[in-house]
Formats: sequence, C-alpha cells, structure tokens
Amino acid sequence: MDFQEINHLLKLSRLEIAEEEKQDISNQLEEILNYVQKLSEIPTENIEPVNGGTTLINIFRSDENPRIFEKTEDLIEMFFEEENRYLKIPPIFEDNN
Amino acid sequence: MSLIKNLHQKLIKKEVSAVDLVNQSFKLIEEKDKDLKAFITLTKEEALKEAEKIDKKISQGEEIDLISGLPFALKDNILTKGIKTTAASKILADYYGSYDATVFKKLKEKGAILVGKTNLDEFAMGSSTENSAFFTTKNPYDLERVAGGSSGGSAVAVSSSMAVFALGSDTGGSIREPAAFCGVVGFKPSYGSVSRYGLIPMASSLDVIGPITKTVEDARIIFETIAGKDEFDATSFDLKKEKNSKKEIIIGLDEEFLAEGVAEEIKEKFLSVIKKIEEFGLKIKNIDLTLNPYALSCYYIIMPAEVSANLARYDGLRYSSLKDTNFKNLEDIYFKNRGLGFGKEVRRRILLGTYVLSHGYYDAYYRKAQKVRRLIKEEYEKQFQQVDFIISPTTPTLPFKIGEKISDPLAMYLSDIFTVGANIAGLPAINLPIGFSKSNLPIGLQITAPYKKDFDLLDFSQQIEKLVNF
Repeated sequence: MDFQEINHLLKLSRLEIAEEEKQDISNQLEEILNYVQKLSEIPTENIEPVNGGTTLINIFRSDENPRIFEKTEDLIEMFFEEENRYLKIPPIFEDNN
Repeated sequence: MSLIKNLHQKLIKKEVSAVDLVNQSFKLIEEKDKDLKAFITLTKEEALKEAEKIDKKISQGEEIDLISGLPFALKDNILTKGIKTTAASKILADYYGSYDATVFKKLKEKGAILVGKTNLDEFAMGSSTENSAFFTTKNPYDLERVAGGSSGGSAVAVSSSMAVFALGSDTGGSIREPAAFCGVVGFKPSYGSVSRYGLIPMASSLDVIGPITKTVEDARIIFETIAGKDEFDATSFDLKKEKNSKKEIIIGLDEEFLAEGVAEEIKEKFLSVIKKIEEFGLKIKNIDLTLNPYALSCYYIIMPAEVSANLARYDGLRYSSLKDTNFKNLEDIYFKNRGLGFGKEVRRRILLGTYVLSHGYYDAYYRKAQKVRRLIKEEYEKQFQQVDFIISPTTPTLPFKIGEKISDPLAMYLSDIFTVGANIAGLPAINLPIGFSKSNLPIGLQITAPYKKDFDLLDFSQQIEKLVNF
C-alpha cells in the first residue's frame, strides 16, 4: 500500500498521524490484507451475505406517542462548547481576511 | 460450589456484613492493584454507602436478592452515569457516562455493589490490555505476563478476588481469552440475549456483554440477572428456558484444533479432560469444522468495517475534547482529536475498515466476508445436528510475555483463533479453567453451544466443571 493510498484513507477517516508512522501502518495493513485474502479460496457464488448479527426482522411501530428524549441536558453538558443552549463549534470555513 | 450463594448465605446469617465485603474488596485492591493494575476508576465512597443500605435491609429482616451486597466490577466500556467511562482511550479520558447501561441498571436494582471500572484494550480492541491508553494489566499468576484481553481488568479483578464477579464484553474472544489466561470462568452469551444498551460499541453485529466469575453457577446467576429483551436494544430478545430432555449428550471435537500452533501443555491438559469426559461415559464425536480456519479472516474484515463506522462518532465535539489546543476550523477538530485521541491499534482498525468498505474494495472484502460468514453459520448449524456441544482449547498459547506481540498485530490477532467462530456465528461459548501448566499458568477449555442454547451450555459446563475438579 503506497503513501498516496494511506493518505487517502487517513483523509476519509479524519485521522492525523505522524509522517514516520506511515511506513509501519502501510506494512501492517498490507500484512493483514494478505492474511484475510485467504477468503478468496472459498467459493461464494449465489450465497446471500449476512447483514448484521441478528435474524430478527425489523418491526415498525405506529407513529403515535413518540418517546420524549430525556437526556438532552446531559448531552449538551458533554458538548465541546455551548452558548444559550446552542452548540458551538469553530468556523466551518476559514476566514482568511 | 457457588461463591455468590456462599456469600449470600453468610450475609443473611449475619456472619458477615455487606460493608465487610466491600471493605475486604478494597483491602485486596489496595494490596494487589498497584502491581496488577486491573482498575481504572474506583468507587469506594458510593460502594460503602450502598453496602450500608443493604446491611440495614438485612438487619430489618427484609429479604435480599442473591447478589445483594456483593462487590462487582465493570469493564470500562460499560456506561455508568456520573462515573468516568473511558473505554481506556485518551479520546474519552474525561468522559462521564450520561446514563447507566441496562446491564448496570439491572445489577444495581438487585443490590449488587460496584467497586470500580476495569482496564481493557482501548475500545476493547486487543487480546492483552496492552492497547489500553493508560496502563497494562498484569497476569496474577505471573506479573511479567499479560492478563489477556480485551476484558483483562475484569478477569484479573475476579481472579484475585478484588471483586466477586465482573462483566466483560466479547467481540472476538474478549471475555473468554482473558478468563482462560487468569483461570476463571468467562461466558459469552448468544448474540442479542443481553442488551448492549450502554455498551460503547466496537463491532455491533458481534459485541455481547457477559459475566466473568469464579464458578459456572455464578456465571448463570449473573447471566440470568442481565439477560433479556430491552426496548433500547432492538437486537435483544428473551431467552426461553427449556428443559433439555435429551438423554445422551454428544460432544463434538475437531482434531484440527489441536494441530500445529497449539502449545504442547495446552494440548496435554485438554486431552486429559477429554479422557475424563469419556471415562465418565459421555460420547465424543469427531467433527470437521472446515471453515473455522477462515473465521479469523472473516472477522478481520467485518469487525474493522463496523469499527470504522462506530468510531466515526468521536468527533472531538460530542463527548470530550483535547484541552489547550487551538483549532483552525471544524475539520481540524476532527483530525487532531482523532489522530491524537486514538491509539495505534484503534487507528489501524479504522483505516483497515475504511479500506474494506471503500469503493472498489467493498465487494472483494466486505461483501465476500459477509458471504463467508453465512457459510460459517451454516456449517455450525449442520454440525450441531450431530452434536450437542463443541469443545476446544480456548487459546492456542499460554499467557504470553508483556511486549511479546505488541509490535506484530497479526500474531496478536491469532490469539483469538479458537474464539472468533462463536462471534461470527452468534453462538454462546464459555471458558472453563481446567488446570495449570508446569510453570503455574492457567489453561482454559472452551465449550460452544447452538444459538440460544445458553442454558443448556451452562448446565453442561457445570457438569464438566465437576468432572475437572474431582
């Protein structure tokens, strides 16, 4: 796996890592991917993939008596920054002026 | 046999008080935990208060539950309201649970007393607790060796009697492997039989919470307390307790499980148990789990894929954030918090998961693995038409030296080679201690049962436990 690919994955995952760590990560990912390649030995034509760990089927409830979410205050309290119950974050676009 | 029942009797006969039990726990923690490092957070003050309440109940002649007044520990990826819940990660180092996990709520309602939160591999990713962002938990039988993981702290807390029982979580072996390394019982229930509400998710289709205890009967008592349908976990269900009417029990054994790579002493001990089982008159049948060697590959695609999605929530905004850092903009918050907040193994798995889910690789890796997962499930189902249980060693090796595998992720992953199958197929499986190596390190036996046959598995395990001990 070359650095270009590693950098792309880092960007997709929103991760920042030190330059000198990239070689290790690249080697390790390659080794793991080589190992899991083993699966290609198994024929899986016409096999339905498993989705999730459960055999339960989704049950919809009627849209009545919605549950009121009671933990709002706890969540606000955990947040990065708040002002008058508004959640506050740094600017999304940089202001270069 | 049961430590829980034994202590309960002592409590109601007033031979010992709940405050005594809690004090005893903390005395052991003070003596031993500076070396063992099983606990991240201790809750002594609250524990003593709760114990006083239980003692008051007893003195007033009120009936108490079987687990009332008994000190227990929780793996630190299980949410506790107002108590630090870190998942052993820097990114959650200052996070306090904003609600109680269902399992914790259920234990509290029965009067069990939390003494602390235990160490784990960061976000439960690892087999040795060496991936904890804070410290490594040591094996009580040899301080130079690992306790196993990821529920290493919970296994050590029980093994060293710092807690009567503990909860762990198991995604690929994280209850059973540390239980095997520390010589205690570790039970991974059927997927969905215990609510995951309040468990910090790692791989949601594989994660399950279960007990770590001294005896099988204790594991059953705790399992019965925490199991059941929960409106906050859509995959949870009520397990029916059916009386097993079968006369003859047949045990499946795949000899491939004893092939190369399994430590000689584990093989010997395992075979001596097989002999005991046969002498007792139970039938052993050879089976072929031909796909088992592929379970780990399957796991190392599905698990990281789910990890990369589940851990996307740690954005440095909603839970906790790096202190004293200036952020240029919103993206900078993500990159810095996640880059500095996650440890190496977590980052590795996020990147791996992102890779196998990305355009162009999805079919070759993720979809392929989900197809093989179906085949593995079906193979287990087929084998369980001929046998009632499958036995194997729990781990291929004895507890290894601290540092031995930390720079070789693949070697570390292979610690779970016998345990991941049960997670891939959602099956209940248990570790039973079966003895010690010449160097006095614990050895474990794993028994796996068909989906939802958790109570049959516990019944049978009790039988094997007796056989092994006498």
